[in-house]
Amino acid sequence: MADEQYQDYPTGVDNVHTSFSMEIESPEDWPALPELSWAEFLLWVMGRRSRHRIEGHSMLPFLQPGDEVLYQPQAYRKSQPDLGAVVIVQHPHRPALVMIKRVAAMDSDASGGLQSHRYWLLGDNWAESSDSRSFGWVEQSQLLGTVVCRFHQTP
Amino acid sequence: MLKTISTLIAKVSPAAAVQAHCDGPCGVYDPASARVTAEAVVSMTKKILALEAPAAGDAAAAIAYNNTLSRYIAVKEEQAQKTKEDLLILWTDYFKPVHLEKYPDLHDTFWKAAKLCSACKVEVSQQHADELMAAVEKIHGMFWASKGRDVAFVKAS
Repeated sequence: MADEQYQDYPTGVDNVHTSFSMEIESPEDWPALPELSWAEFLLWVMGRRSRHRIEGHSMLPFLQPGDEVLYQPQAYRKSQPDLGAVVIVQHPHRPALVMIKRVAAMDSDASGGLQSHRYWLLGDNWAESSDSRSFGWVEQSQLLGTVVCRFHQTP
Repeated sequence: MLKTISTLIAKVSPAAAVQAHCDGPCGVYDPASARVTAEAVVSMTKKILALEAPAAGDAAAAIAYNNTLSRYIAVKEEQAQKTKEDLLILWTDYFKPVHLEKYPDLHDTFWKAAKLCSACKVEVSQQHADELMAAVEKIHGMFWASKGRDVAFVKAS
């Protein structure tokens, strides 16, 4: 049963331009999330940052259930996320479901003269994550913001 | 000070949830399956030890005895193997390095539990069967504690 999720990297990503060439051996190697600074706190007070509380285990060990993060809404209106960025994202088929995942790959399409991008998102805890392995590529318009720092850590 | 403020804010007014979830069949782990199979091992061990040998010269009783004993042994071996597989899945797939920090004896616990599965398979030992049950209970405790939940260890028998 539970062995199945330990497939190699997801199928259907052969046309990825910027791929998994990062020097990351495993999800445990991601740098820790920055702690809350006064600057970010003030931005939150001013309404330029939003808060979210983590539910579920898919971002372990990076984020625990109950942790709170600050994110910058509309960060990806004009610019694109870096690979490895932690993003707040709308489920592509269930818009009411807002998730937190990490950008694992980007796919660019320049056909028709208009550059468009889509993203392959993964939870850090592959054994307990529903992500692009189940719902596929995610459009940039579904990325609701970028996580900038931790707000609260569950004890 | 900033940390105190943010902790207080998070406590007084928790933020809206964002899902770091898993809604598929993947990642569904539960030590209950190991508990059920380990119970079967304990039960079969007890039954084998309690089985009375047939009277000498009673051919029908000998056949019945051998048949029953063989079946008990087959089930014991099968369930001990199944227990081992269930435990290994928990060990290698569910538990993560972060859990190892919390439970430094995690590897030792699983290693010993897996060895007990082998012992119960090979031997007819009430002592080892009971030790296996205790090991599964310990793993049950670590598993649910790692999820921040207190789940009672309820046996079927």
